Amino acid sequence: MLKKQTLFGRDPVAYLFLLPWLIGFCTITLIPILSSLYLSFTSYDLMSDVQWKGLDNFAKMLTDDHRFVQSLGVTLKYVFIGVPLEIAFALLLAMALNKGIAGMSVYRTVYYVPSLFGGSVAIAILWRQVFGNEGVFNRLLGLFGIEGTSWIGEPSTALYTLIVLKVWQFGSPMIIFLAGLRQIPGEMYEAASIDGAGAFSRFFRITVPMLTPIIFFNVVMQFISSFQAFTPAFIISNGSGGPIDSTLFYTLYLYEQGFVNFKMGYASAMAWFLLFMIASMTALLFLSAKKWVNYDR
Amino acid sequence: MRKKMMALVALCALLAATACSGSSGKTAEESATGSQAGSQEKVELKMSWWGGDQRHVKMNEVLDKFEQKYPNIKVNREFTTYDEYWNRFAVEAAGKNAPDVFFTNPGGIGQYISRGQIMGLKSMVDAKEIDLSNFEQKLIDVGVMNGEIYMVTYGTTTTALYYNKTLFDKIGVAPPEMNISWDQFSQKAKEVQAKLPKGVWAVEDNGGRMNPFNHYLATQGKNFYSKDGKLEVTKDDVIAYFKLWDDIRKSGATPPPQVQAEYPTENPEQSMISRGVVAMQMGVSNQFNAYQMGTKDQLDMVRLPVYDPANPQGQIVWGTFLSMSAHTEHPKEAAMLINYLVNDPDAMNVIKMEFGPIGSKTLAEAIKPTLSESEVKGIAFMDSVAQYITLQNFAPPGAPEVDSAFVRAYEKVAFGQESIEQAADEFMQAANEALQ
Repeated sequence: MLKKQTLFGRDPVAYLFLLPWLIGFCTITLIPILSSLYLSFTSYDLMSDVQWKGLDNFAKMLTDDHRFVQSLGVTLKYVFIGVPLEIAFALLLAMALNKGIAGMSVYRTVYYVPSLFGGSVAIAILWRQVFGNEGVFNRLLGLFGIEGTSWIGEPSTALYTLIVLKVWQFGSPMIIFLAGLRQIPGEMYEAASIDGAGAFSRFFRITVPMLTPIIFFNVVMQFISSFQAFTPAFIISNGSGGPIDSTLFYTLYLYEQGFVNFKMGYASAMAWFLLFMIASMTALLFLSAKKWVNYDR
Repeated sequence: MRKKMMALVALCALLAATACSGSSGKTAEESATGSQAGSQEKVELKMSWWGGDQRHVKMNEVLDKFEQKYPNIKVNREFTTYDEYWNRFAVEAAGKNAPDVFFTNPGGIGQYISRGQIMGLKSMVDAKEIDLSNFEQKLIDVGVMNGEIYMVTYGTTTTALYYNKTLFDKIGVAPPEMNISWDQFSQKAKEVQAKLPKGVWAVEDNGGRMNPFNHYLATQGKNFYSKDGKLEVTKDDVIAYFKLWDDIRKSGATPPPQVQAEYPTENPEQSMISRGVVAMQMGVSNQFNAYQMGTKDQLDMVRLPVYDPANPQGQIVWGTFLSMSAHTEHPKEAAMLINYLVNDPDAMNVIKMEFGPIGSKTLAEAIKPTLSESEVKGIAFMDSVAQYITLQNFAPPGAPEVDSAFVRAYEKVAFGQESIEQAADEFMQAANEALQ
């Protein structure tokens, strides 16, 4: 029996089931997003009235705020060094684990676990200890007779401790790579070795091209998430983005403007600019994908 | 199909009803029980405070006693560390959900007064709902701005120079004395450093710290902020202060900036002095117990250096204060809570010196016999500097930005990224912008 076309399509019950999520989406996600868009054109300190400012916030951000520029620089450095490193590690270890060595499932778990809670407060606090002046890392260096400094207290190295933390969480892209590697037909490798291709050649001519969809996926996902990185920087720098703004992530600066200085309008403007940045980067990635991502099988 | 539409509409209505009733539930319940119990209506207050674990235990005990004394009032409690406190308060205030009674201090309250978040208490004080008749006048004045009382003194504190007496004895150097000049202090630090083992320094680098800087200005009779919330401090003041610490740091008497950057500022038990990393540390006097608890060495405290030992006037009093939300639904009960906290002997027996010397003279006398040695030290210290107290203007909105600009400016000097001139310039610019 054909279902009748009703006001809500053929299956109005579906909407009933969707209702809880729809209500949540509207109240917790959609309405705040629209409010922040509105606020980005205003000056609002949470307690007084909202003052319309037009494009002033955006103008100030882009032309008159050197800490904004600093935060952009720090974030871009983090993204453009951290993401490629992380993906490279993930791929390398996926390849190693794909060889089918003994105890592989143990290794897989061990490498995956950091990515589960690597972004947490507890790990960030641990990281402070490890890379502090009296930390474990310096003790390790001491074994080799190298005297370490405070890696998180030194402006030139603080950001790199955060990058290391990011790369340490390579487990989740690694698992995805592992799945991708499994899908490459073994016959291709066999045929290649028969034809005399060495390991290097096999990697670059077979593995990488076959993996490009997965590489693309991992790159996009990691880009998007690392632009939004907040917790590690907040904890390790005590919320200051220091020393001397060397770990002032974009989100951290946004937080400071919004919740410490009560400049909610400015913070909203920053948030929308971040969205614009991530969207542009992602769009560029997708455009470039046509050139290097290979979906044939 | 009609049935399904009805079901949908009914579901929407139900959900809408649940959403609405959440907020109005309290008043409905109140009026219901109010009509039952007459004047003894059940009231719920929310109180929030900052502190370490020890303090949470004490505060909870005091509030339990309060609830016992006034069975119709329930106090919901919120507590967190100082670093987090103002963040959380800001969010609550914005959501019209501020606590009824909460801790404040001159540093944090300015921005909330100007935004209409703080209840003026003068009328309640005059009516003795909050009884301050036993208080030192100066300790009432500390909470006044533009003729209105916004804060009630719960405990006072002031800047102090902590030093590790055990360490000083061990290296055979006389500890710093009362009312020495900054130059003499500088000499002392260098003298001490020469005798310290590797990895221990004479004093932490206070070049970027606001409290000692404020004191530095106070003993010159200067104010950081003007009465109308603008900067009164000048670029030359900043340069002089930066130069002072730059010199001490360069002589090796302070930990290098990288090490300094690692230590969070608000945890006394984990401070540099408690961990044996420095011999002297500038802090606030009511934390003495907390610092002492973090170490087995004997600590002591003395007044911070002064600009001119011949004329040592100028001491800033901060502390822990109690304020009431301007949006509280129960001002009477909130006033009762504040009054209880600062005047009730039972309450004071639990708190004692947790917040430093208290406002009420009679209570202070009453608890004296029960105090521990370090608590007595705290009172003695406060007494010793009481004659020098001068009142400071409250920090205006934008003050947190000024504070962090100060830290950054000095960090740039410490890491050798900028000259003192440049950093001071940058700071003045950032500070002026922040206060607009």
